[in-house]
Amino acid sequence: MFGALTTRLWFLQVLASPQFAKQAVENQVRLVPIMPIRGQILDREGNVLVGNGSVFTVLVNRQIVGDRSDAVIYRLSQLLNVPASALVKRLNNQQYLPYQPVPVAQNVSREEVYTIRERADQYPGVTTETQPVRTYPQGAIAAQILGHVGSITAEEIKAQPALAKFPPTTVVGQAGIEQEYDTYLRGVLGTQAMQANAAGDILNQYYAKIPPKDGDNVQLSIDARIQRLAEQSLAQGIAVAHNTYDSTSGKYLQATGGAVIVMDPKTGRIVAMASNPTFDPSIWTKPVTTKEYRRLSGTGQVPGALFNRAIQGAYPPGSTFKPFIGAAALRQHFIGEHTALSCPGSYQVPGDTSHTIFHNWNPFNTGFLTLTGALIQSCDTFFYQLGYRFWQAYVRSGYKVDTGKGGTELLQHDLGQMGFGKSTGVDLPLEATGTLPTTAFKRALEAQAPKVYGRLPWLPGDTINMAIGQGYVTTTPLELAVAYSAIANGGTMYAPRVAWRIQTPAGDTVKAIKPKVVGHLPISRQEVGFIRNALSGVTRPGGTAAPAFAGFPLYSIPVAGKTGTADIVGKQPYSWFAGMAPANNPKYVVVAMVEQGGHGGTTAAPVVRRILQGLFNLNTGNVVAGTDQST
Amino acid sequence: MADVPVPRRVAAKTRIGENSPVRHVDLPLVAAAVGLSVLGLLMIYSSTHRSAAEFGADPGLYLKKQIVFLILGIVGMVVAFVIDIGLAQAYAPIFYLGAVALLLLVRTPIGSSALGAQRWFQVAGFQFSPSLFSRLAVAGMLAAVLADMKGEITLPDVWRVVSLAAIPMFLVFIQPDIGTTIILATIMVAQLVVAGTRVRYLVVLALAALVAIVGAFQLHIIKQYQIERLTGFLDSTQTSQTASYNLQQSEIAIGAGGITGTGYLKGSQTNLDFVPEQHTDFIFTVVGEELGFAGAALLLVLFAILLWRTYRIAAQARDPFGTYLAAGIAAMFAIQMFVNVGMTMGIMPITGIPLPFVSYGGSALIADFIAIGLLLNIRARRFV
Repeated sequence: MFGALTTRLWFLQVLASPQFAKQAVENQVRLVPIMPIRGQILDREGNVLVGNGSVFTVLVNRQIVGDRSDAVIYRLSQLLNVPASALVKRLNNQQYLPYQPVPVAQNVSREEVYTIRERADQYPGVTTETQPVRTYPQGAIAAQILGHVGSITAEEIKAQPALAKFPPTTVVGQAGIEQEYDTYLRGVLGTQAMQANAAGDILNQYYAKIPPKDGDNVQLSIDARIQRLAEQSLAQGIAVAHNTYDSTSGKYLQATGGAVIVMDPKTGRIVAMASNPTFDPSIWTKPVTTKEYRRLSGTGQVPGALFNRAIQGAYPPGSTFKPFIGAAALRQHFIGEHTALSCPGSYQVPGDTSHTIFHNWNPFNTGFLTLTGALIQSCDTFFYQLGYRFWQAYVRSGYKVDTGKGGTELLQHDLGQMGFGKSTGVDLPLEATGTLPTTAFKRALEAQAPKVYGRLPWLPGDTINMAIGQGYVTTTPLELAVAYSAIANGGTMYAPRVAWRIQTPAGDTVKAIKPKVVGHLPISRQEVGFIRNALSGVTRPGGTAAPAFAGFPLYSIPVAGKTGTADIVGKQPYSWFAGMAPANNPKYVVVAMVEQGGHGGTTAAPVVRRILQGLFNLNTGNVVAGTDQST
Repeated sequence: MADVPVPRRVAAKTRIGENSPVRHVDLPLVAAAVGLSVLGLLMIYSSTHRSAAEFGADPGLYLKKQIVFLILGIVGMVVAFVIDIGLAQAYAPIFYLGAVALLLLVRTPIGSSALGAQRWFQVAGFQFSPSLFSRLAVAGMLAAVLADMKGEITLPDVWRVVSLAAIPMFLVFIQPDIGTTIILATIMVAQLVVAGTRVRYLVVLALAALVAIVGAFQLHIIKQYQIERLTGFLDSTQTSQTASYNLQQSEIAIGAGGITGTGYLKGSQTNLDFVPEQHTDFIFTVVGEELGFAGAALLLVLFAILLWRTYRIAAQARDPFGTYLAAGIAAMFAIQMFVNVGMTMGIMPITGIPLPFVSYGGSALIADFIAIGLLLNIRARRFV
């Protein structure tokens, strides 16, 4: 008898003891996650763009409310001034387990919290707690860049299994920088090992604590001052456009939206990126109503404020494309820097039996021009001729119109090297890619909707249209900014970056983020300088942007740039200006685009001018809208 | 029995007379019983102070109550020691009938129930459990009956004994208190064996018991949870969660103790209420966890001393009644110790049997000390 007991005792306490000791520890330990503090987003001067604050949240425990939920929801609806249907919808969120309190209202006032706490009998199962919330000390700027946070979704957990450990109320970045750098901002979950008794009661005593690692800060190269300047200048330009009569359409300019990019061409960093319409990012700290969300999303025709036009919108670049056509022509030796071509009022493809006429924006023959003059005047017929040279080269290389096959697409090849038809690789989600049309692209269109497009071989008109940035070609404002930065810096193409570095909360750099060099303009540095020099004439008397830059101290801060007026069927022209200053050694590249903003010199160029004035701290008085009629 | 030498003691300076029973107190027996009780006090405090404090009660609540029981028990022991053992024999039927009456009474609304069993009376804030006293009453009654039998024990004699035991066994069984039923059965069998019952009668008895048990299953007198608890130790994976949880937590507690234990009041299994019924039936797990193999072995040694002394007393008793009674008590302590300690380690079924002297509980402790008093009495009478 004693032998049996002692043997068993020996087995349990000596031989198998370590395993039981481990089980005893596991028995009593409950792991409670400790939330890290989400990192801040700073501008390049260290100003807080996105910080952390706390708000009161109302939560409802469905198990406790039970069958009194109708009465409780009614009272909450009255108190918080939220429709009962919205509360019911939030309460039915299946992401929460039955015993977990469900947040039904965020950012409620102190008074409302007191009402709920004082009259607990009226609000069974209703609790209030403070929850961390993002704050925006700089106000309503950079909304689309910063993005927003939201509760983890099931899809996000699927994509990132690491998120499964976080409590369901945790927020993660769901747009913009918040999304792109979420893994840094998020931090690492800590764990509090609590001792619990058999009933599961936490005894407020713990054995071990793994502290959370707070999220790192993301410092952007965005400068809050310049960002505000860009947004205000764009908004002002759009407001002016709304009051500008467009004789072609017989209406005031619609100016449905626009974008501005300010880039440092030497580093590839983005200093400001504006998209209009915009919104106050603090709207995300409260539940957004469906109606509000619909307004922010906009329609397929005119996207709303959530849409970052600077990177998500692809538009025909119009004449802002011409410097690159010129560069490609120089590269192919179709022209030299001093080759003069005529600039008639219209152009016909030699031997074209259909006698299709390609018009210049200016019906008068302005004589012979070199590339410099053609860029300054934005002579379309000059570039039609370059387009035709590329077409000829295409045919010479073996392209057959009848079959739509063979040959080498030289122009597309060169433009591709300048970054067109590709996304820039910017560190922001949802970047769109411009279109660099090719024979294959047209064939795909044809296959997509044969009835709409008919048979679509690549025709000379396609190349000719592309030569003035029209036709199927589109670019995002950012693609254009990267290409102009390459003109500004001697030819280097960068994958631009909005973020500058990742810092610990204490300010030590964890990781420097550098724009990557992704290529070079396929022309010599000297030729790049030649084009830049040519563009500096655009803002001077005789140039298409001369009216917009009247009174600007070009002698001390020369501005090189190019206007663009992109036609889209059924719409007012899209207004572009891509500029850089000082032209001899550009510090900034500024690209502005206004949808249905009229001519480039009318709306976009004054926007850029205002931004440059701010950048160089100039006070040149009122900027008048240009009277430019060029494309 | 005369060949057993009388222990020689160095004569202490004492006024106690040569023939006074006090001279013949079996000190190792008393020391073992008191030692186990003190160990029990420590373990009871360890397993209850924290949860009592959490309910806002005095952390020493259970400890103090058990100390009162211990004092009462020692008083009971002294009384049982000083009375004439002949009276015990003479009044055995009275005690027996009294015990049976109380077992019947506890089934009336006067009795209190808990955990699905109706087992005790609530008296002045204390619970009085008649089934625990019935152990002694049955041991005394059967000893008296067997002592009266002259010559070889016949089958009708066996049936007489069995019938007498069966009445209280049935009454405790339907409480239901399977543990006490097993104890009573063990006492009976031990006394029959010591009285020289033939083996074949015992075999018949075993078969009858088997039929009775199968019958009880068939008639659903045994409740499902009892079956599970009884069979849980055979395969802990196949039984209900509750039944295996008890055993699992119990084994974790004992196993976690290791050789030297986690230290007094430092066992997590004990402090955090992981082991159910820990101050009563599972008190051994506190010893195992906090004092380790060393403490558990000490406890077993104390029991070994207790059983060794009880066996000696049975062997050296002056008359058959003393022998049978001591044998019954020895069987009672042995089965309780073995089943209780065994169940905490998973080698015995889980039944509600307290660990003598150690488990919290007044009725058991007082009854056990009265048993010690009776043993001392039987031994001392040898020298009269």
